[in-house]
Amino acid sequence: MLKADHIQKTFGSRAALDDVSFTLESGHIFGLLGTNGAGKSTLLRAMAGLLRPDQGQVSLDGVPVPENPACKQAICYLSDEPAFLMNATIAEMSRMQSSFYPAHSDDKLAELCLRFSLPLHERIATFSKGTQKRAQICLGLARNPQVLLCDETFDGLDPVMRDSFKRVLSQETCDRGLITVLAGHNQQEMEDICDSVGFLHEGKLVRCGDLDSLLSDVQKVQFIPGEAVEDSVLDSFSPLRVQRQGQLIVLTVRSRRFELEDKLRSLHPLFLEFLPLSLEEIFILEMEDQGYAK
Amino acid sequence: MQNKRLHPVRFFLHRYFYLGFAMLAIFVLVLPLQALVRLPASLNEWNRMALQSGGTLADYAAEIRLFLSCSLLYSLLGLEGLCVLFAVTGFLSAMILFRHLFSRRKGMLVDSLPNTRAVDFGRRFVCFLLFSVLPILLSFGAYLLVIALNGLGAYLLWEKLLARMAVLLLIHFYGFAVGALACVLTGYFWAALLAGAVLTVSFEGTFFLWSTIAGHYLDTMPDSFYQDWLSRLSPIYGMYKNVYQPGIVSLLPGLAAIFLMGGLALLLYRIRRLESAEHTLAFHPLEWIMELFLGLVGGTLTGALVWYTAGTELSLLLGLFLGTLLVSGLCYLVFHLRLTGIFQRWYLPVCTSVVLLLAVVCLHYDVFGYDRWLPSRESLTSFTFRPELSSASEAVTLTSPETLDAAYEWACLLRDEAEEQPDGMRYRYSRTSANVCITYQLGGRKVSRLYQNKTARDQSAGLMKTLLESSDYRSQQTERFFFRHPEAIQSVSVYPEMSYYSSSSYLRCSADTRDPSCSFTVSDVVSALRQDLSARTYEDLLNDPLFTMLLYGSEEDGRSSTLSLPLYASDKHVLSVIFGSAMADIVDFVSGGYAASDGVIAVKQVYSVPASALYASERPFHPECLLDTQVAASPEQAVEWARQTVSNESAYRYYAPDFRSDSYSVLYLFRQDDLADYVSSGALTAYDPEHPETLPEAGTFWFQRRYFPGE
Repeated sequence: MLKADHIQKTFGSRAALDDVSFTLESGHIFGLLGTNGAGKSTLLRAMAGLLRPDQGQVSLDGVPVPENPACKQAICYLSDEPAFLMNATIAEMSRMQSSFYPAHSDDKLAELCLRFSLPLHERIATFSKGTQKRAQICLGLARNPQVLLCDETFDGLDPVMRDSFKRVLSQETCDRGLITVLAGHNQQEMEDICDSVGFLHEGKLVRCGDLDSLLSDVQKVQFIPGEAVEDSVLDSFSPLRVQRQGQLIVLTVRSRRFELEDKLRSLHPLFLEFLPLSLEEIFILEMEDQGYAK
Repeated sequence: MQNKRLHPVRFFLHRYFYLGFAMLAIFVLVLPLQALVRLPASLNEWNRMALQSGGTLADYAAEIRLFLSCSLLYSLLGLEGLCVLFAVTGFLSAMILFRHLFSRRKGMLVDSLPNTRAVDFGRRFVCFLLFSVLPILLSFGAYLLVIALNGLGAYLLWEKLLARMAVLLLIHFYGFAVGALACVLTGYFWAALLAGAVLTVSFEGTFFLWSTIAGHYLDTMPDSFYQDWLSRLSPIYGMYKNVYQPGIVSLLPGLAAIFLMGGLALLLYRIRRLESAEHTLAFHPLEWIMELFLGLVGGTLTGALVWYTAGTELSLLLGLFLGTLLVSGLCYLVFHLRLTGIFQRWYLPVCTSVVLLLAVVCLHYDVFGYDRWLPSRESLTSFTFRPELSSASEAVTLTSPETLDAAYEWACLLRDEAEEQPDGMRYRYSRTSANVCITYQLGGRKVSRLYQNKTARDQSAGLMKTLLESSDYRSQQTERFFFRHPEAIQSVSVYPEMSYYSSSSYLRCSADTRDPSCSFTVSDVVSALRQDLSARTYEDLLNDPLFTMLLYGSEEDGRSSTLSLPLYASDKHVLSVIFGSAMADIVDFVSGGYAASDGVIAVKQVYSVPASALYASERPFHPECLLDTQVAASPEQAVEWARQTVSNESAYRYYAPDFRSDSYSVLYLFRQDDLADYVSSGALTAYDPEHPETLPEAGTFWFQRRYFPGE
């Protein structure tokens, strides 16, 4: 179990993380979405023990992570900017990892490199950005970590590699109970793979929960009311967004479907249809609700 | 693919192997390769000299020992260059091993490794030992091997050589400690270099500047003040001096500095934040401390520079203030890499300026009573005095209660003279041999002061007689190294103290044991000298020395050394040994008889002002003060005048009153041959050889000027 408990971190006068808490069980994939500068990378680094929170604690199975070699062995952080030893090849990096991480498997690395089409004996510095990312992923997974923290790892990968990576992640989660945190902007990929998501804005975790619950907590409905409806009536629904196209009204509301349906029936709609919402749309709505880019 | 699993330490070692290779290359070049190149040639030279002199190589043992334990080591870079090399390579090793601290990405890679910061630091230190220290030791081993292969192993002074190498290694460790601390404190490579420079030179440099400034305020501050404090407190100076001569000063400051900086580097490394990389200073709270400290250093430097240029107290104050402002601004720029907000912390340069200006005020008014200070008589355990600028200058330490009483009374007079000087800044007094440096030993503590002794000596003749005729003083004259070990003396030479000479008369009055015709031996001279030194009186010392004796030999560590001793007319035993039956004749000649030589013109001039005023101004001539000019009527009168007078050097005897305030007559001795040359060259136009009184006042044509004391 990976637990973040009231994490606070400031850089100078700016609060990068403000009272962030959540818990992740084994075999869980958590998606961390956030606006630019929300604190995603800071949170991941704090979870990896690279940054020391000003307040709060990150623990793995009850053991505090910072300056703890055992915890660091179990956690793999894939940075948004991959870093390797100077002039190293994947084979040399593997050698380094095998020295420091007892769980590292050379065979697994070889298999992953084959799958991701990576040469073992060429200098990583000569790779493209995307290829370096792939190398980073393979090396990280070859360590057989207990926790995998991915910072914008999907970004920069082509669709084929993204698909491969998702499959590997799913496999690892099922086989070993890997805890994964995916931070980034690619909501589509997260919607495909994550069990739960969190929305980070200005250092605060504004929403966090099961993906299905999150998706079912917000409803988008288009309807044509039987009679003209005032705005004040629509306001009583506490909508996140209201759009009028002639008589057609499109309403986005934070509510359960059946509750909303009951309320709308009272307006005797001539037409009523619930539209599917994507995670991206929910995210945009939530951020607008927080006052971001309004 | 199956990698051999390496222990993390071994992985580190693999990774930094190139550092060991580079260090080995550097030190092989500096040590064994130099020996390989220079030793055979030197060995051939010694063998050749041995063959020529009919002796063996062992005859040159002292020289060979000195060469192997000293000169050969410094042959490529010199002593200072070698110290710098050891320090810089230590520093650069630290920069290489901790360079991940300058990059966030590299820092993350290292921080994500499953070990604590302390373990990581320890691993890097192990790499330093293996790839920086070990190559030096291997190179030194190869150096010794080259010496042994040349058959000179038996001449090695193991103690001295190993001591030197140990100190050089200590300097290497010091460089590493400075480098490690500089890397941990900063977040850029260039900032670490700057920090290293600041850590290395700022304390000693600032102290040097302030001691120089203080020297212009405090009359009794000895010239050796800076060096004395350096040898007590400076790690760098202590280590450098120990390479020069092992055991000469304490290594404690160096050791303490290494442990302190290394320990601090470890402590700070453990708590250093990842996000500190790519910030000039890695620890934000240090900013104001650094700004204050660098303001003090930079303000001092600027103040000193402006003061050196303009030379006034106002320029010093202005320089200090402006320097502080400038450095404070520079610090802000360096720490933040921008100019906006540069006046935010205006109070820091103001505080620093106030501190510096207060320091000047304290010096101006001698607030801490430096010049006034004198220990109590009860606390004085021994008293060392050393005349400045004396050719035979040696420190004398007095310990017996009677001599300490007299010495203390003398010190009171000296202190009173210093206290009468007005407060403020002045140019340093010109140094003369009248100045004395006194070191008071107070139990375990030593305190030194330098006294002008300009007027105090006029009142202390009685006290000086007590001191110079004490058994304390006399016994120390004969306990010097060459007297205890006459076998270490290689030659003795004696020269007359007179300006005029023809080669024959000069040679007649000289002697040298290296001369095959020399009739005395070193042991004869040393024995006779002991007798004369033990019997010398104060009155003997009031005369001009007639001869200078030079004892040349080797000190305990093989270094050559020369002891210079004045000989007086009263030193009959040693003069008799040197000159034998011709002693009386030679003494007669040197003590004034030369004035009767052919071609010498003696001119006595009487002035309306005393000699002390006459030569106090910068003008060389004072025709307006001239009352009378007389030419010696006969050679006998010339000799009589020469014997009535004393030399200019005598005016600066620290133990005798200054007679120049009562001396209105001056004797000039000219050589006719010289005058003829000056006339023919046109340099001397107004001179009529038939009328020597037409010689212009003094001028530069005399070969000797002497005073008539009290006349």
